[in-house]
Amino acid sequence: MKKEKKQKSDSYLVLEKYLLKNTKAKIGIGIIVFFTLVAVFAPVIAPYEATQMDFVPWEAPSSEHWLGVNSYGQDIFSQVVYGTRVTISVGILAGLLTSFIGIFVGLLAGYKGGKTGEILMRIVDVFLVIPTLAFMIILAAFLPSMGIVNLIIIIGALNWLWMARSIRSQTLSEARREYVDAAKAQGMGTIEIMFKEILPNIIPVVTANMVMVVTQAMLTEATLSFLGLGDPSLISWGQMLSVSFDNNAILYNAWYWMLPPGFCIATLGFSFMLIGNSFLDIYANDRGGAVSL
Amino acid sequence: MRGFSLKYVIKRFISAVFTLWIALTINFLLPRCMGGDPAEYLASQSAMGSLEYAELMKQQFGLDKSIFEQYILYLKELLHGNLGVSYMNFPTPVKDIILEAIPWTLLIVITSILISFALAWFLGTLSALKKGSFFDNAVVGTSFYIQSIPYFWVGMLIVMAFGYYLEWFPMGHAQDAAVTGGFLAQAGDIAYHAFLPVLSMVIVSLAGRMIMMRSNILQVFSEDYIVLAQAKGLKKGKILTKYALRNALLPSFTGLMLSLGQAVGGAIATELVFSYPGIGLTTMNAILSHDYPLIQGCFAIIAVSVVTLNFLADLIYPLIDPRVSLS
Amino acid sequence: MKFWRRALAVTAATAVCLSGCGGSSGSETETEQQSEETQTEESGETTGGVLKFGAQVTDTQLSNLSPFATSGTYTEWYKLVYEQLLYFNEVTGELEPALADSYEWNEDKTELTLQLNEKATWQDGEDFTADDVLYTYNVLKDNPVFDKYALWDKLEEVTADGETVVFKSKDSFVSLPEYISQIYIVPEHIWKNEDAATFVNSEPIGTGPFIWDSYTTGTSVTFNAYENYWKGAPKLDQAVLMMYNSAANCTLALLKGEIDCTTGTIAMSSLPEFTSKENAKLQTYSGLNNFCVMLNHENEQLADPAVRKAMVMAINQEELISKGEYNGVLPTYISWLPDLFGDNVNKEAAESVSYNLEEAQKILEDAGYEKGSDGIYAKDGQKLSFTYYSASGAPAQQMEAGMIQEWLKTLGIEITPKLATWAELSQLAQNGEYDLLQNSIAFPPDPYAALNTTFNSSMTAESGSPTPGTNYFRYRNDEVDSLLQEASSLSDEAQLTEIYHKIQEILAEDCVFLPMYNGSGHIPYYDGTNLTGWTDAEAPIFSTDNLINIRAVE
Repeated sequence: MKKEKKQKSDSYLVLEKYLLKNTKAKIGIGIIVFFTLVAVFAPVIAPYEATQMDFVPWEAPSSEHWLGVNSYGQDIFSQVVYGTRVTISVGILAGLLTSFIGIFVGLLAGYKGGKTGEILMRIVDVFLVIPTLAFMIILAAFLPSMGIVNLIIIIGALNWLWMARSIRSQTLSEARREYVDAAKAQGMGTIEIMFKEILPNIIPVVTANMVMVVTQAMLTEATLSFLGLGDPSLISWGQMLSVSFDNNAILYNAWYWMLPPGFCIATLGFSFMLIGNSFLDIYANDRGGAVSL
Repeated sequence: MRGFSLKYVIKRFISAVFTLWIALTINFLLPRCMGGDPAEYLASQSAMGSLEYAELMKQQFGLDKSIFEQYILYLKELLHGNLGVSYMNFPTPVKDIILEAIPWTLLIVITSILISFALAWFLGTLSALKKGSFFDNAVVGTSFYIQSIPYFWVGMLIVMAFGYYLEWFPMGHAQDAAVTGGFLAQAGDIAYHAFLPVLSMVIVSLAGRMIMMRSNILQVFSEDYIVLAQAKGLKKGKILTKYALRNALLPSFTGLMLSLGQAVGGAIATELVFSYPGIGLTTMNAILSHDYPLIQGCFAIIAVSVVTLNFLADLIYPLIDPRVSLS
Repeated sequence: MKFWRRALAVTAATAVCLSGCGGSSGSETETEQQSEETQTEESGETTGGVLKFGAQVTDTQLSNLSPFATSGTYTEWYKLVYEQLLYFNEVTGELEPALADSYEWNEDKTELTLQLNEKATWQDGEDFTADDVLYTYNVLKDNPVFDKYALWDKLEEVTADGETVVFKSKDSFVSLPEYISQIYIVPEHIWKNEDAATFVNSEPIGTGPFIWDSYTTGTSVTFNAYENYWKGAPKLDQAVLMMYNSAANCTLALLKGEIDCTTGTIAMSSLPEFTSKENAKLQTYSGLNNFCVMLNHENEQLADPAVRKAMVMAINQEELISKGEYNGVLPTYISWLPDLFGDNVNKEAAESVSYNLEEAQKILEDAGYEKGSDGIYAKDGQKLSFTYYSASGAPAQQMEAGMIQEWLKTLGIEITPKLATWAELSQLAQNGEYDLLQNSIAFPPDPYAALNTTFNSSMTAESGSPTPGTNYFRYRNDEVDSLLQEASSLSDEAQLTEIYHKIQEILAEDCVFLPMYNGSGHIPYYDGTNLTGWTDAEAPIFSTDNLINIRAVE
C-alpha cells in the first residue's frame, strides 16, 4: 500500500515538473489542442466546403470570405480550416512511425554493434546516400495513388534515417560507459539494457529527434504537395501554397492566400518544438546538466 | 589508440564500396519499379502513340533486353564512367547534362551549408553559454519557429519581397547573359544571382543546426568529465575549447558530411522557386519523365559523393572523439 | 540594409558597363534602362531592338540541339533557326512555301515534286542545295527512331535533280506535304562529318532568320539576326530566349514586362491580369492535340451510347474553358478535328451536342436507368460507377478533373478519382486499363491521319494489350473503318473532304469521348510597348514572317 502511494506521488511529481509547471510545454500543448479542435470541428467552423468553387476569383478578404477567395473561386479560410486535418494527421502519424523505427534501429545498432549493428547501419547508409526527397518522388510516382495513408507511410518510412544515425552515435558513446558494464554484470538482457539503461540516458537526444520528425513530416508533406505529388483532392496547407505559387498569387497581391497556410504550418511545428525543447531542458537540469561557465 | 590502423582503413573502404554497390543497385531498380514505360510515353508524345515506334525506342534504349542483362550493362558502363544516354533528350549523354547542372547546385548548396554551419556553431555555442538569458531564449524561440517553416515558402516570400516588390535582386536565374565582361564582373553577377537562393537556404537550415549545436554543447557540459574538470578548477574558456566544443562538434561534423547529399534533394524546391538551374530540378524532371539513365546518373553522382564523404567522416571520426576506438 | 542595396546596385551597374560593348540588353531587373538603350540605338536606323521571349524550359531540355530530337527536348527555338521545305501555318491552316518554292503532285499522288528555294543560304554562308534535303531525309531513313511519323514506311525514295526534289511513295500519299512541313532541314556540309545518331549539334547552323549565338546555363539563349535571310533581314538585332523553371515564374516575368512574349507558357489563371495590361495581346490558334476525357468502350456500361451521350451533355464545356483555362484555349470538338484543318472540319457536327443537364438525365432515364436513393443512376442493379484518372503534379489538370467529376456526380454517376504521372497515364491509356482518363491526344497535321490513328479499329487493341495507334478508346465502328478505307485510296480533295465530314458526323453521334479543349497555341505578347510589327491574324507569332517584321517601337 505504502509503496503504491509513493509511486503515485512520484508520477505526479513528474507530471507536475514536466507539464504543470512548464509554461513552454503548456503553450505548445495549447496550440496543438487548438489546431486539433479546428481539425475535429472543421465542418462546423468552415463557412463553406473546401472544394466549392462558387465565388468570384481573387476576391480580397471580406466579411463573407475572411481570407478572401483563391484563383479558382474557392474560399481560402475554409481551405485553411479543412487543411488542418490533413497536415496534423500526416505530421503526427508519420512522426510516430518514424520515431518508432528510428529509436529501435538506432539503439540496436549502437548498442549491439557486431553483425546486427553493422547490417543495420549498412542499410541506413545505403538509404542515406539516396536523396530522400527524390526517393519519395519515385515512390509517389510508383504508388497507384497518393492517398493520405500512402503519404503517411512514405514520409514515415523514409524520414527515420537521420534519427537512427543520431541515436546510434549517442548510444555508441553510452555503450562504453561504466553503468552499462554494471548492468551487464548484473545479467541484464540486451533489450533490457537498451531500453532500461541506455534509452533513459539519451532521452534528450530522443526527444529532440521525435519533435523534429513530427515537424519534419509536416514539412515533407508540404514539400511533396508543393512539387505536385500529394493527393490534390486532399486539401492541405502545403497543397494550398503549391496552388498559390502556380497561380502567381504574388501578382494579385494575394498575401491572404500565401501567408496563412505557411504561418499555420510554422506555428504548429513551433508548438511541437516548444514541448520537446522544454522537456529537454528540464531533463538536463535534473542531471545537473547545465554547467554555468 | 590514436592514428589509423591499416586494417581499419581497409575495412571501412570495403564497406564503403559495398554500400555504394547496394545503393547503385537500388538506383537501377528504383526507376524500373515505377509504373509507366518511357518508350511508350515517348511514342505517345511524338509519334501518335505508334506501337512500332515504341518498340523501336525500346530497342534503342536497350529496354527490350532482360532486366538482368540491363543491370550487367549498367554496371559495366558505370565502371567506365559512362552514365548512358538520356531518353528524353536523346542522344545527349547523361554525363553532359549532369556536368552542366551540378556546378550550380554545388555553388548554392556548399555556400549555404558553410555559412549556416559557421553561424550555427557560433550562435549555438553563444546561446548555450548564456543559457536561460534573454539572448538564448530569443535565439532558440526564433529558431524553433523558423525551423518549422516550409523551405519553399521562405523562398516564395523572399522572391516576393526582394525580387518582386523591392527589386533589389533578380527574381531568378543564375547569371545574366548580358554580362560578358571580365572574370570579376561575371563572378559578381553570379554571386548577385545566387544571393537570394543562398539566403533562403541559410535561413531555413541555420535554425535546425543551431539548436543541434546548442543542445550538443549543453549535453557535453553535463558530462562527468567536464564537471570533474570544472571541479578541478579548470578555466571556463579552457573547458570550452579543450573538451566541450570538440565533443559537441562531433555529431554536427558527421552532419556536415552527410547534409550534402540530402541538400541536393532539398535544392529541388529552391531551384523551382528561383528558376535556378541545377541537379535537383534535373533529377525531379527526370523522375517525372521516367528518364531512367538520367535518374540513375543523378543518383549515382550523389551516391558516390556521399559515400566518399561518409568514408572520410568514418576515418576522421575516431580522431575527434576519444571515446570511440579505432577497432 | 540601405548600404547593401547600394553596394549591390553598384555591382550590377559595373557588370552592365563592362558588358556594354557586348549587347544592347540591360540587366533584367532594369527594364526602363533597357528601353532607353533600345531607343537610342533606334534613332537614325530602321533596325535594332531585342526580342526577349520567355518559356518554361530547363537546362536539360537544351542539352540536345539536334532538330531530330525526340520528345523531351525544348523545340520552339527551331522556329528561329531552322526551316522546313514547306511551312504549315497553324493560324490559317495553309501550307506555305519555305525552303521549297512550290510543290506539284503527279496524277495518283505517288510522286511529289518540289522546286527548291534558290535564295536560301545557310547561316555560315554556304548555299542551300538539294543535297541538304537528301541528307536530312536519309538521316530519317537510317535512324528510324528520328522518323517520328514513320514516313519511310510509305516512302520509296527521295531523289534530286538540280534544284528539284522528288518524293516517291509506295502508294498514294495524300498528306505527304503536311508531313514534310514537320521536318526541319539540316546542313549536309556540317552534318556529314558527324554521326547523326549521336550528334547533339552544339553549334546549330540553319537557314532561318536568327543565328544561335550563345547559351548561358539555365538562364538564356541569345540569337543574332541573320542579315542574309532569304525573306529579308530581321529588323531586330537580337532575340533572347529567357528560361524559367516553372510556368509561374515565366508568367511573373511577362507580367512585370521583363519579357516581350512567351512561346506559349503562361499560367492560365494570370490571363485576366495579363490582358488588362496596356498593349497586351493574346494570339490563340488551334493546335495538334486535343484534351479530352477518354472513355473506355470496352467497359460494359460505357459501351452504351446513351450513357456516353448523357455524360457529354452533362459537361459544361464553356465553363470548363472559362474557369479552368481562362478562355485562353479553343474547345475540343465532339467531332475531333480542330479548326486548323480548315474546310475539312465539319462545323455542324462539331456543334451538334451541347450542355444540357436535364436532357442528359432524360437520356439516361429513357435508356432504362433509374436514380437510386443515393442519387446514382443504376440499371439492372448495376450502378453507373467509374474510376477517373488524371495527371498528378499538374494543378490545372486536377482542378479541371475536379470540375468534370463534379458535373458527372450531379448527373448521377459515381466517380472514383485516381491520379497518375503523365507517363503512367500514357501507359494506362495505351493498355486500356481505365474507365475514364483525362489526357491529351496528339495527331499529325493531316486530317486523314488525325482521324485514322485515333478512330480506326485497327489502331486499337483489347484492353490489357497496348494499342498500335492512339485509339485508346477501344472505339470500333465498321462504318468509320470503311470510310477511312475509302479515303486512303482517294486523291481528290473535294471527295476526301466529304468523307471526313461524314466520319466527323458519326463521331459526334457516337460521343466517343468527353471533349475538353484543344491544346491550342496561346502566345501572350505586348504590341507597342517595346516592340511592334506583329501580325497575329495571318501567322503565328513565332513564324518567320512575324520574326522578321517585329521591330522596336519608334
